[in-house]
This record gives sequence, C-alpha cells and structure tokens, in this order.
Amino acid sequence: MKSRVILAVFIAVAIAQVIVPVRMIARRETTLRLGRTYKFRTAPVDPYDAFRGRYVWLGYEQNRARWSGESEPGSFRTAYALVEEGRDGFAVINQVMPQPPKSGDYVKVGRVYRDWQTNSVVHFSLPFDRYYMEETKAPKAEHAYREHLNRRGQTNDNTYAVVRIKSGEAVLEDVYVDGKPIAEFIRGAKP
Amino acid sequence: MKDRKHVAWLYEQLPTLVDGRVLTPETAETLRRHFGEPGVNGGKKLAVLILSILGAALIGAGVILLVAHNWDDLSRETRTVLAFIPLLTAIALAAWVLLRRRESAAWCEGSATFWALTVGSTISLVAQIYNIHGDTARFFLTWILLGVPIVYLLRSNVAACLYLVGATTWAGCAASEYKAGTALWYWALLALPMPHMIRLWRGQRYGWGSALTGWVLALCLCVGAWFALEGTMKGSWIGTYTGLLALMYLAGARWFKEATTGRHSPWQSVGAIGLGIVALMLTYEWPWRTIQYPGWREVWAPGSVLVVGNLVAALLPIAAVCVAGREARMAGWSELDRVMVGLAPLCGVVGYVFAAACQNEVVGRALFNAYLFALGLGLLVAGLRTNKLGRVNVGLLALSALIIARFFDSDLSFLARGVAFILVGAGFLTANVVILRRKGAMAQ
Repeated sequence: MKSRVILAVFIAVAIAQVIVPVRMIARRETTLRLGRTYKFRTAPVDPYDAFRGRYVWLGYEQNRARWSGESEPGSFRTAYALVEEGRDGFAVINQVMPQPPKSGDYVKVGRVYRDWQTNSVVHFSLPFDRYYMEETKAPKAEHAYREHLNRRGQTNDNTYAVVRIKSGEAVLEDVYVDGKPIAEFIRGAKP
Repeated sequence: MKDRKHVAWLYEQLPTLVDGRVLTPETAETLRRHFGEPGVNGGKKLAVLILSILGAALIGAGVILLVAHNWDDLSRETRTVLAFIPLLTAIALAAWVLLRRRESAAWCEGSATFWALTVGSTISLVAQIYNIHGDTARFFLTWILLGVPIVYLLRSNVAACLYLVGATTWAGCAASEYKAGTALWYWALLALPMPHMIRLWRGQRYGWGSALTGWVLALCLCVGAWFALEGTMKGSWIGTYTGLLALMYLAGARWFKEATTGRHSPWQSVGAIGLGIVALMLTYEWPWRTIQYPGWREVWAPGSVLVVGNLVAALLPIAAVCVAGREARMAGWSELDRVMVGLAPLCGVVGYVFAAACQNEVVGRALFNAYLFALGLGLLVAGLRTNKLGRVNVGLLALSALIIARFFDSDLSFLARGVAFILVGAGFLTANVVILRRKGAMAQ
C-alpha cells in the first residue's frame, strides 16, 4: 500500500474507533438529560462479566404484558413495551406491540415469548438489566438486595431502579435500596 | 525453506563444497547473503518479537482488568474521558510505528496487539459507565469489526488471530442469543482477514506467522463450524465435519508438504486428529440414531437460512471428495493418506442418507468401522513400505482406537479382550522394531 493510502485508511479507522463509543455515549447522555424518569421494582442477583466487571443483575416485576399486535408473537422477535406511570408512582407496562407506539414512552424489548397458557400475553425482559459497580461493592450490593428485594406477594416500595426513557432509548440511572441510592446504602451498611 | 536447521547444515557444507569445486566462492557468498545468519539473528529477532507481543498483550489485558474494577467513586464525566485514554494512546503509538518503525515486525505486532485490545476496553468501559445491557454478541461484533483494519494497517498476525478468536466467540454468542441462522454470518466474517493470511501463507509459508495463523484458524474453524451449523438439519454436522477436516488435511498435504515439524503443518495435524476423532465417534450408534428421531429434525430456522446452512454443510463434503478424487489419480504409497482422507466425507454422506431416508443406522456405523480399519491398515502398510515410523504409529493408533472402542461396547469375554489387547501391543512393538532395523541397515 502506498503511504498516502495507508495514512487515509489509518485516519478513517481511528475516527471510526472513536466515533462508535462517542455515539454510544451521546445517545445515553441525551436520554439521561432529557428523558422522563420511571421507577421499576426490582429483584437482583450478582453476576460477573469478564470484560466489564461486576454488576448487579436486575430482574423486574414487569416481565409480562398484553400483546397488542395483529400477528402472533414469535420467539426472538423485537417488540416495543409501552411504559406508563401507575398511581403508586411506579412504572407500569400494559401493552407490548410489534411497532413503536405513536405516542407515549416506550422501550425496545428483545426476546418476546408467548405465554403457554394465554395467547394474548407475552413474556419479555427489559433491556436495562445490568447495574455495574466497583468489584468490592457489588457483593455487598447483592447482600443488601437479598434483604430488601421484592418477594412474591410482598411489595417493598423502597427497592427499585430509576430509569430515564426518551424515544425508545432507556438508560438505568440508579438503583435504590431502602429508599437510598445503592452506593450510599452500602456505605451506611454494617460490614 | 528458510528452516534454521537446514540453513545451519548448508553452512557447514559450504566450505567442503567450495574446496571440492562444486560451488564457486562467489556462489557460496551469494547463498550466505540470501539466507542470512543462521540461528543467531533469527533467534534474537524471534525472541524480541515474542516479548513485544507478550508485553503488549499483558498491558492490554491489564487495562481491561483495570476497567473491570469500575472506579465508581469518580464522576461519570471523568470516567468517560478516562475511557478513551488507552485507545488514544494505542492510536498514537500505531501512528508512530507506521511512520517510524514500519519495517519492524516486533513494533508492528506489539502495537497492533495493544491497539486491538484497547478497542475492546473502551467499548467495555462505555458500556459499564452507562449500564448498557448485556448483548455479548453485539459487543464482540463491534469490537472485531473496528479491529479488523489493524490487521492490514500494521500487517499484524497477532491482530488477525485475535480477530479469528473474536469472530468464533461472536458465533457462539449469536447461536445462543439470536434467532436461528444468524451464526451463519461466521463464514462471511472469516473472509475479512483472509487476504492478509493468504498473502502471508504464499510469501512466508514456513514462517512463524503462517504457523500461528494456521493453527488459530484451523482450531477456530473446528469450534466455529459447530455454531454456524445451528439452524440446519439434524445430523448435518456429519457431512460438515468430515468434509471440513478432510479439506484441511488435503490443503495441508498439498501446500505445506515441505514442513519438517508438526508445528509448521497445522492443517494436516488438526485435519488428521479431528478426522480420527470424528470417524471414531461415527463408529457408535448414537450419532446415527439421533438423526432418526422426528422431534430432533424439527427445523426452527427460516427457509433462506435453511437453504444457505445446508448448502454449506453439503458443499464441504462434496468439495473434499472432488479434491481427494483428483489426488487419487497420482496416488502412490506415499500419497495414500490423501485418498483415504477423502473417503471419510463420502462415508459420512452415504451413512447420513441411509439414516435419514431409510431409518437405518447400521450402514453408517458399518461404513465408519470399515473406514477406520482401512485407514489404520492403509497407513500401517504405507508406513512400512516407505519406512516412515510416524505413519506406522498413526496407523496402529487408529487400529487400536477402533479395537478398544469396539471391545468396550461389546459383550466379549475378558479372555478375548485380553488376547486382542496383547496382539495390538505386540503389533506396535514389532512394527517399530522392523522400521528401526530397516533404518539402521539403510544408514549403514
């Protein structure tokens, strides 16, 4: 390759390698600054990612809703969940649809599975399921969560995830345990 | 071939050849200039190269681990700025290498390794800062696609290997996370670093780079083909693997035939070992029986994926049989292995047809029992005729693997099994003694 071609390719590659993470950042920053805040009730565990470190894996109570598409929901289909605020101040998902809704906040959900009992209900997982923490804090966060998580038939309004949503983009802002941000809660917790 | 041992031997012979007037002193000097200093400089260069790659890989891995710690006491803005420091450092280093050290393999490989790893660390850090959810396949795809130009810019073999490992990991994640058939793109991803590797294999066929990329690609293919098969008909792995491994062996035997050690012949080594394992597996009943279960043949992939996936699975054994057929025309005792290897995909396809269409698993089993027996016997006889001890032992190994497998899944008495094992052991010893004696007699 001639030097000029190599230089041009090098510059293009370097720009692309910087632009990709910058775009990732820009989308999330826009959502964090301009998106509407919702609170989702959670149920966590503490896994590990070899590249991105330790995180608290968040499961949500809101994992099934009515399917409002004309055709049957197939597995692995991309779908959109309409997010609204309930009377108790927590997020509610009543509908999942194959196209983004024309009005209202929504999040893109990955896999959609039809309920084995009812055809009109689908199961889904919300895309903000990881909250990364410093490696020494994540196990403490897991412990704190186990003590405060929302068990079946028991609702703890003080344990939830705060998520910003804008134009289908959802960014997990913080996780609250016992009414406090999780980092603050761990600092105050007994070792 | 610029093999150090051969060059050293040649240099030992040069004074004798000049004294005997076989070569002129000028020709001897030209040969010395052509091959360079044996051992000393070559060894030092290789050591520097290995150390630079190891150093860069360790620093890159260290950066990833620092990222994984998650410095959440720092503000989001500070962490975002810090996320780019390793990548920008790597880009600056690569720019300096391109301008000032382009001819140094050690600098190119070291900086390329560091650069490729920092691309991944930056994406990881951004994902960590913004709690981006865990689509591992997408993470690997972004990483390798942003990293593949490094292979060409710095002509880096290590970056090519990292890309191949990344593409195989992507295929594994895509097979489990995405809809059926997505992993078929693995074949297209493999094509991206191919021009670099083909140029390398042509130019420096027996160099360290060809050996490294050959081993990594051969092993990645063995793993990745399994993921890429997801979404095809049940049992299509039989044709795919017999075809792929046979093609690997045949390619190695054709284009890397002058390799003196196994290290320099990855295609033949992986092809032969892999084919032996697959053939042995196919002497059992279970691979053929699974094809017959109607439930197992349910296909979850859409039509287009099914067509492409099964086409790849069908083309591999066909190509292997065609290549082996061409080799058969010029086959002597020394090339018998190529013909035998080509028979494996043929047996696989015939066995598959009987198992799928006629619900008959006996044909496939019988074919592979006969095949492994013939392969072992053929290699044994060919080795004895050509006085090649390695080939004799591989033949005996194939025969003993077959005998051991059959003796453990049949109801023969301990007496019969004992006699058979003694006979196989005696066969090993006799063949080795015969060959060693012949070699000794020839040397005298």
